[in-house]
Amino acid sequence: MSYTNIINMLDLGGIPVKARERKENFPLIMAGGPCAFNPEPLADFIDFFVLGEGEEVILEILGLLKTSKAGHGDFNKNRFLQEAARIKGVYVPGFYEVSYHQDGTIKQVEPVLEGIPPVVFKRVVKDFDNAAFPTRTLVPHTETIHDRVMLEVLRGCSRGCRFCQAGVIYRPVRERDADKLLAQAEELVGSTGYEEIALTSLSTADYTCVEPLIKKLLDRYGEKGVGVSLPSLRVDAFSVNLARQVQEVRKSGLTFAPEAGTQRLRDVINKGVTEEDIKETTYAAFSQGWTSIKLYFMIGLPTETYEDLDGIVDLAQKILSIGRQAKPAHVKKPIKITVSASSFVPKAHTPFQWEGQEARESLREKQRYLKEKFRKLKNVKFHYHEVEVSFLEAAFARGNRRLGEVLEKAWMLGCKFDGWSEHFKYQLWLEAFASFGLDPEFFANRSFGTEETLPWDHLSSGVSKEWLAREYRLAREGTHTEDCRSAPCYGCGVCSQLDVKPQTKR
Amino acid sequence: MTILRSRFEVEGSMRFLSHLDILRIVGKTLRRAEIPVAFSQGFNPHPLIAFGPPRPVGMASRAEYFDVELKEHMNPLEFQERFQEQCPGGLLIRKTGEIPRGTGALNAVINCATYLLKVEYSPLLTKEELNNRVKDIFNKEEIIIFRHSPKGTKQYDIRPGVWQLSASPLENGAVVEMEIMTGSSGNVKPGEVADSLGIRDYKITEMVRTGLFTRLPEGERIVPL
Repeated sequence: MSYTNIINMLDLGGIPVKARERKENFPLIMAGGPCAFNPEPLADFIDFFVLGEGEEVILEILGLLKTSKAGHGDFNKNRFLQEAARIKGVYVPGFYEVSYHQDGTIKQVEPVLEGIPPVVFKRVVKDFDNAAFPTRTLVPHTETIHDRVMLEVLRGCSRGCRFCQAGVIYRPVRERDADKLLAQAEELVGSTGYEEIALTSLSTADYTCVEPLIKKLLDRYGEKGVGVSLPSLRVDAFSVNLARQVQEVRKSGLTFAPEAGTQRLRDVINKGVTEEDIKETTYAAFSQGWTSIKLYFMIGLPTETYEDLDGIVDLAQKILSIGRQAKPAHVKKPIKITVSASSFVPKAHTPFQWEGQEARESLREKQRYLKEKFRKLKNVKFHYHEVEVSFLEAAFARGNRRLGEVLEKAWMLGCKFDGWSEHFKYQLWLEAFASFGLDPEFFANRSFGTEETLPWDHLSSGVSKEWLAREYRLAREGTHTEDCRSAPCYGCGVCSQLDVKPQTKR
Repeated sequence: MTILRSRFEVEGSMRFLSHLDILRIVGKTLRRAEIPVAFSQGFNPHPLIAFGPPRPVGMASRAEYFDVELKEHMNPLEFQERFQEQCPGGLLIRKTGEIPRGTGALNAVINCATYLLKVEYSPLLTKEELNNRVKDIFNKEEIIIFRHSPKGTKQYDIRPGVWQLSASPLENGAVVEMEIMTGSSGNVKPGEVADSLGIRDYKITEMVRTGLFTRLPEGERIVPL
């Protein structure tokens, strides 16, 4: 829900918001990150997008900019963009024309110039160990998000959760050498003065050398008062053990994400976690003195029934009683469980990209149902998200280029900072959609046909559409797909299409 | 164990940082400078650093203080150099000295602060008019001000906490200097004193904390370092 903030930032910077209204004297606007994998709603505002990892491509872009400007003041934006569009990973939306069927679905997306690739593939760093990693970073004076040393231990995750976009677009898995990480930590702590080192990745407990790395970091920095933190934990006892190592005493809360309440639904979404895992994990956590545990779930997942909702309540109840049994005698604090249920938002480039989001009223009904059930459970807190926010998120996550004018209109009507609930103006958003005769349900709730051209089909993460479709089918069958780290390659396509290999350490 | 006390200045845009921001900056700077800071014993060790009374956001200062306890002895001059080398601009250590163990904590001993405010207003007031307003303040038995907080509005008498005050005319307004009570046993805010001068619609263009002291009952001021 930050889309309008981008427009607002351009405007506050005195820059015309639409790319085609920016003449030669205005800066080039480039964008990247996960949202660049369905950038179509922003196509009107951004000159070019970069898909995938920036380490190498940014140098190529800057190199091109340098040579383009080396001439005698005859730099021309359009010429630059034409050449940039030939760099792998660069997507210049202005060079692609979208045509539509009568029903509003996409007929085709075609490059309008010769030499512009019909499909833009993401960039990926092949040699992750030797990729540039800045160790002299800006250190803000005020407290900001990620206000700590960020040590990226691995990139990618091959667990294959079918709702997860990051799990697709950051493939393949590549781990960084532990000695390299230690050297980076040394430089980063020395240059920033931070008192915390976060081991970041999509799933840090999956890093092969995580235990020796944590041990070495604690040995080296513990005495200096610099701690280690793990932002993402798997649901297993191993992760609890890691958490115990890094926070010897300060027992804050632990967060786990079973995502769904029953084994059946967890198999549908390919969350490779069993009820046994969850019980074991929470038992380990409580017996080591943690008293508060947060559990993340989603509602509105494909094939979900009220049995799955009961499963959430049931699981919370079981964990509560496990906590009461496992709690060491000296711990006086009562066991507390926080259950958070967000509404499923289908995302581009995932097996669930075709699936429409559940209708708002039906999601609200499910929220009410859960709320009522949890009201009776003492020591369990239940949180959920506003349905309207998730609905608009889904509309933009699966939106096409026509949403550009909706964004501009919404911004003009005053929609800004909508990620903050007190600034969320649902009615104005609906008004913005309506003023162009568009219906957000068409983008959010409609299930896309398997033959349909998706708004992001000309952009590729390297993972093939056929594989995503197969996973979607397996999901509906409730068949689990193994992690390719431990099982044979199942052919998602990223390695062959991008000529890369997973890199894991021993 | 060595305890080093330092006085530092806050100037330029750094004055818009909060007290807590400054705390964090000093912590990071000590780590970057690899100063051997001692840690508290116990279950949740924290670095032994202590600051004086918080500086209001937006106010520059010539006299902020912090104490650091060290694991091993360190020459104060060396500390000052190493710290300053790693410190962001706008935060300047002016003096560092060793203090004997058992010296009272900054927050406990500091009870007095001096401030300089430049204010703009019109119509202008003469030197004599300003002097009279200052005299009026000292002639009063009590000066009741209202402090608003989310919990409600409280009355507070600032008169006992105003020890010295002067105001002299400038081209567009006046410069106001004051010595007032600060700290946990009673706190007067410089803006409240400026308000009591009864100047309408004045605008503060500059505000500086010029000193922090231990004020003895007879009025003698002792600098913490």
